Amino acid sequence: MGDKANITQLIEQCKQQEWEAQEGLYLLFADEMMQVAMRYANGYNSAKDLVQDTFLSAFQNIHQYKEAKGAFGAWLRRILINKSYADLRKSQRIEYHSIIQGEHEDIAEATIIQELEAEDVLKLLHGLPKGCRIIFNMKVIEGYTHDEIAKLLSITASASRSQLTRAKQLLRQALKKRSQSDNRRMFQRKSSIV
Amino acid sequence: MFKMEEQFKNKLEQYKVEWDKKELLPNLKKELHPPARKRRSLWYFLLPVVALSTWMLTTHYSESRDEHRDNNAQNKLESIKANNAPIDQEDGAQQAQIINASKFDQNTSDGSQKKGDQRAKIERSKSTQEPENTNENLINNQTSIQRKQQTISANQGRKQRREKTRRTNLVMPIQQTNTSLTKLESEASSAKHLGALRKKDDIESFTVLSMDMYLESSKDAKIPLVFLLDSLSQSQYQFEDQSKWYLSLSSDLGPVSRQRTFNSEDSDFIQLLKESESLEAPILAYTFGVGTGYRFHTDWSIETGFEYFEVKEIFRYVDAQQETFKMQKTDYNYYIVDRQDTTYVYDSITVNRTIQRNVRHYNSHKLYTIPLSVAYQSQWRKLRIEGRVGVSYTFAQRYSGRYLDASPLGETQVVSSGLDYDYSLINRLGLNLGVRLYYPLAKRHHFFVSAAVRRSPQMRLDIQEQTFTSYTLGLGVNYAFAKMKD
Repeated sequence: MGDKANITQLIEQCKQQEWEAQEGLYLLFADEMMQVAMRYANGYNSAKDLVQDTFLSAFQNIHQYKEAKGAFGAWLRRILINKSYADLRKSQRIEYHSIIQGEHEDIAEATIIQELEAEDVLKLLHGLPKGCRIIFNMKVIEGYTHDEIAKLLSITASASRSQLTRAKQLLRQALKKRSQSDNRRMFQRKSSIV
Repeated sequence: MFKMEEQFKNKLEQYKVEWDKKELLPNLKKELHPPARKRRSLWYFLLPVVALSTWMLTTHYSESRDEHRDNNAQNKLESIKANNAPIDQEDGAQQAQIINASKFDQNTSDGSQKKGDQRAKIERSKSTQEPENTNENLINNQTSIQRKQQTISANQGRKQRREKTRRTNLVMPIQQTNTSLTKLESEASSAKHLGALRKKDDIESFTVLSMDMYLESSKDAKIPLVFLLDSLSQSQYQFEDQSKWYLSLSSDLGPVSRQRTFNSEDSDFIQLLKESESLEAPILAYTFGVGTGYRFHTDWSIETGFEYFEVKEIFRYVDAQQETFKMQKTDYNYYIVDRQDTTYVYDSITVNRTIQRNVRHYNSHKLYTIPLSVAYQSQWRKLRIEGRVGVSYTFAQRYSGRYLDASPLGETQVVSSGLDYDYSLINRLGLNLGVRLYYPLAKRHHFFVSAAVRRSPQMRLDIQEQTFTSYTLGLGVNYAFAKMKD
């Protein structure tokens, strides 16, 4: 990642709509944004589209970026999240699921995750409904508070909480299923060996 | 944070996606810095048509201007003769043949001595008979006539050279016509607005095509062509027909080329027509159509309606006439040329001469048809390309103008009686094939460039059966009535 002065200079040049500066800034932040986009989008191609839309929007509105309000990367992330949420709003209405069970910690689930590859975890994440996924990402990965999420996505904080709970429930179910199928597979393998 | 969440975060942060980030750069550049809009594609189609039309208009204009000038000079010359004729009416008659005025002029200007003698004789004879001012008038008239004659011979020379270059093999077996000479309509001064669409309040941007032509026969030619093209935003013009049925009006105008095929080859007259094909040159074709169509597939439709198709042709020929008039006594009339000898003329003379004039006449051939076509449409950016193939039933046709005719005596002559000449239709079915390129002007209006081939029905004029194949290029406007998306 380039140093702060370099980024500031590139941003100033981008405000003059200079392509070389836009290209430079994109190359600096593209990987980071793709990492984020992969968590929010449904797959590789959607993530690429999301990254492209994010940079397009950023370069078109770069005069709105104020350095004092935060880092450029964070600003880009916010644009990406907004884009992702806007896509969701366009395509469907968010369903607010009722909480069936209370939150609980399960050590066994954490252990299962630890045994999984990063790609498998991403697949589990992609298995979530998009609304839940966005809030799970924002709260768990990005570290936003429910109030911040509510403000960013124009929803209530309680809606954010319920979505997170729903996301975690679904993830647990998915992990349980996965664990059961793994056990079955192991049992089959053992029995075939015997 | 619960342990599961923490594990998730750690795992997801470990995940590194492998991708080529430069892959998105071209798209970004294209979106952020779009290349300047190219309108060349439209001009590729427009320019040849405009250039050809302009060339044809300019050529015809300058030719008709020359002819107009010749006619004026000839008319003035004859009016001068007529005005001066009574002066010498009583002086007795001496008839002679004058072959042409320029020859006479040449012979009389052989030497200055002869001219001097003439002038002395004139002064001697005139001083006793006529007042001095009459002599001056006569000399002035004579000078004026001389100038006119020089103009005529110069123009004729120019025209002959032009005719020579165009019709090297043309033989005109015209003996004499009983018809009056055609008056050429070159003096017309007109301004034509071929198409202009004004901006509407409810449309942000639009396309305007306007072409102003000014044709003036006096002095210099003024043919300004003004094209204004503006862009039309994409959202404004895109429309889809909601209904499968549609009605459309279209009209186009452009240059035409025509090929005539005869059913029999052995007629002398056909041979003559083939040899002298440059006699009839098609200039412009005009089409007007009202049609209804049914879209039976997204891209395919079937159309029928009414179509009026007119071809304007120019028919050039040489008209010969015997002319007899009395020539009053002037300097030049004192000597006439007869078998290379000069004879002194005292009185007025009666002149018999043959006048040959190059005449052009504008014929028009009109076909009233009911077409039935299948059309295929395809959208490419702003342009809509339409291919069309079909048949047309000609229920009426009309041919007006002059043409070469083989008379019952075997002589070939130009026929013209001022009436329309009816080709009798042997069959009524023709074939049409065309391509149109539509460019949107507004939601329902389209400007189009068309290229078409039309094979007319088989027709008979006198005893000759013939078929025309017309190749047209046109610029036109189309208006569609159909339910459309707003």
